[in-house]
Amino acid sequence: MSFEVVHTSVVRGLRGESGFATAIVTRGLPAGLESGLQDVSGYDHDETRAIGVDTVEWAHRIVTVRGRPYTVLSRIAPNGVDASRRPNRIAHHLVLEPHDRAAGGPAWMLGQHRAFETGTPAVEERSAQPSLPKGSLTARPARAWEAAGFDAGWAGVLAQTILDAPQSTIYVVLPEPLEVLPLVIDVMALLPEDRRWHVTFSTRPLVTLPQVRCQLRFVRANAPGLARLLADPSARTLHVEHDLGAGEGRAAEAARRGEVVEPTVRAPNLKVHPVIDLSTSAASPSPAKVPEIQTPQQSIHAPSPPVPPQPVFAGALLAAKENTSTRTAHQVPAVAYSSPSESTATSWPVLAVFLIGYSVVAIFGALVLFILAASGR
Amino acid sequence: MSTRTPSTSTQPVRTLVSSVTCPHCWAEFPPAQVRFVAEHAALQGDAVLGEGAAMRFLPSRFDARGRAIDPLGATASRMACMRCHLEVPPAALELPQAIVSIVGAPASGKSVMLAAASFSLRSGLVVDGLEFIDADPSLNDLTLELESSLFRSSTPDRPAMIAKTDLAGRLYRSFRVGDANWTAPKPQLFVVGRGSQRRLLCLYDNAGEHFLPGADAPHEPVTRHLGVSRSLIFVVDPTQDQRVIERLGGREAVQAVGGAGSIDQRQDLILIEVANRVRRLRGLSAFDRLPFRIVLALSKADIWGAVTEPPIAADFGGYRAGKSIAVPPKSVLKQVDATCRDFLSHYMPELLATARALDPDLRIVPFSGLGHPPSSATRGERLAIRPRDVNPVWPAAPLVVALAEAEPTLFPEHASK
Repeated sequence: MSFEVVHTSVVRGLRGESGFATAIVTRGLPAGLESGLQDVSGYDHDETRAIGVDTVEWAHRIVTVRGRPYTVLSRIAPNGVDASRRPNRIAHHLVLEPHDRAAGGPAWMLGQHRAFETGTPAVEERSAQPSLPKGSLTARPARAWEAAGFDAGWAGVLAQTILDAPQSTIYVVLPEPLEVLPLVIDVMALLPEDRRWHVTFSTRPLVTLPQVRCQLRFVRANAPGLARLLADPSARTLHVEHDLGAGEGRAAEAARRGEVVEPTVRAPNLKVHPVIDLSTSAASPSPAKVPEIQTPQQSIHAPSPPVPPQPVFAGALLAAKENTSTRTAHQVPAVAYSSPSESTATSWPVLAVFLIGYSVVAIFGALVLFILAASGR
Repeated sequence: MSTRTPSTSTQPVRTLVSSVTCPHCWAEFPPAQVRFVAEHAALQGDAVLGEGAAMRFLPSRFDARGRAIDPLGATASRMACMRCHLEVPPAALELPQAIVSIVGAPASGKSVMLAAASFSLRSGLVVDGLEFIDADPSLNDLTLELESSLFRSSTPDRPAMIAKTDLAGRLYRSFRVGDANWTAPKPQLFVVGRGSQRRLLCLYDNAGEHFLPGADAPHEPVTRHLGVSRSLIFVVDPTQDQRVIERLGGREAVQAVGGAGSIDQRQDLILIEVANRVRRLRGLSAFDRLPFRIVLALSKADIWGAVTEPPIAADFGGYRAGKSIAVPPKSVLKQVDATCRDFLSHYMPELLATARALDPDLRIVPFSGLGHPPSSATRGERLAIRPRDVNPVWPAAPLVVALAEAEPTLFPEHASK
């Protein structure tokens, strides 16, 4: 059964409290989940301080509560003023069971769900589970990116980064505030269906919590404190600008034509996550040309003019070498996914025959030695 | 007992406290167990804080200047708690701590009081000879932002909104303890000094909802500072009480001058809940007195102060005009304390009785964090105030009185005994 939780500031909440409280909950919500969702219900009203690029936070997160992960779709938005005439917000969360996840992906579901509460609702406990949209999403050209003034190819570059680095946090830096959900839907459309629910995202990220997985974070260029976030050596950054093309790589072209993007590297050995169905087969490496994305500490930009070699200090070289080793550590070696080769398969019988023969000879030798020793007495 | 670090001719001696209380999770540990934060870029990811944080480690190698060296050879200078792995300032290892809990109902004015108090204490004009500096500005960013928006705005004529403290987001930190994730409020840390004495002052800006009965969750120890605090400031907003609202002319009239008006909180129940949590966290019996002084800080005094006998809003004992941010002398505080007791016994008797039962020697201090009523352009619009109009009255008085009760040697002229 899927559930919903609405958290906002009310005069009297479901548990009798005032101020920020649970206003709506589906009966039977698992224990601990109500407070777990409260932790992801925050909203920063100060636009000069917020790092997110969207006014509304649309998010797909995996929230772990008491050891169990839950798939959570959220819409968090301003909600006028509360009884104390201070800024209010409303957070509406949908907790999905695996069978309720639409093939279209989390962003598509967020865009299709028409029952999100946008104003302070009547406080109630609902017995019926939320009515959720069902449907699929076929690959299509990234029109929303074009409508926002960006090269559609960026959707493909982002989709490929997601496929190539599924365990890395990815910051998408956009030049100005805008509605991001249509852009995310475009990116999801370019992903294989079985990969869409692996992608967690937020269009207005607030804080990083250890119990919450949120891979894709859309942030605003020049936001305060952004440089510190982007300095995370394990994170990848995609800078998208209006007057910058995404290059002629295979992924960018796929986004322009509306084709599914394929990974350029073998899928790494994902940590098993109970919420996600890991039935994806490892794809073969593609020789496609893509913008440079292998370096976590480097931002992803479209191909830029060649830079003449610069003199570097020995210390800088050492740092660069160490960074490379860090990246390698995040990418599971290809051998993790490689199947036994033919030569290895054919060598098994030979080895077995050799071992059996060796054992027989050894036993026979031991017997001979024993008989000789016994007869010598 | 204190331990001393090895000294050389070029290094000053650093005296460490015998036990450190983490300002984030309130774990107590000896200074030798403090973790260091790895500086090497390759040491990313921590078992307690998650993949986004740098690794914390117990150092075994140090350089010639006594600084820790991380496993990949980089010099590490930032320190962290041994349990929650959140960063603690070096001052936490060297200075005795004074943790002051600021509690109150939602919308009672806690955040504004904290920002107004810290801003005015920085000026040096509040108490003679007082030094008040941030222990680590990066940890105090929330208070600094509120100070900047209300008290030293670069756009003083542009109305600044009065924000509501959220239950989630930047005000809190999460960490892992065992198999569970904990959430705790971000401390605001200051070094308070006077004469030869120094203290690390820890303050917490909780949402009022955290103090409501039943809001204390096992893995969200957002009010656990009550278990280690040295003093308690209970912020009371009289404009939330129906009897005061009626005396001031009704809800519409109270809202028009920036009072709560539409909220009717049983603030005495919140005080009882807080007292119960203190007893529970410290293992006290129901007959034990609370181990600290309660200071009732009556907020928004510029609104309700006109109905006291005598009216304190007129001149605040002569300490409004010109020197409104200074903490008045004890004689003035005592006089105003008596006036406020009469006011409470008349309009909010159950609150005064509850507070007296918990601490017969409680102290009452009125203040106004803004000194000017915020307003909304239209009905139902959010409250805002022009920073140019902000003129706090006695903003730091409750905090100084609370500190004086916790550390009488630091503020002997304000201590009750």
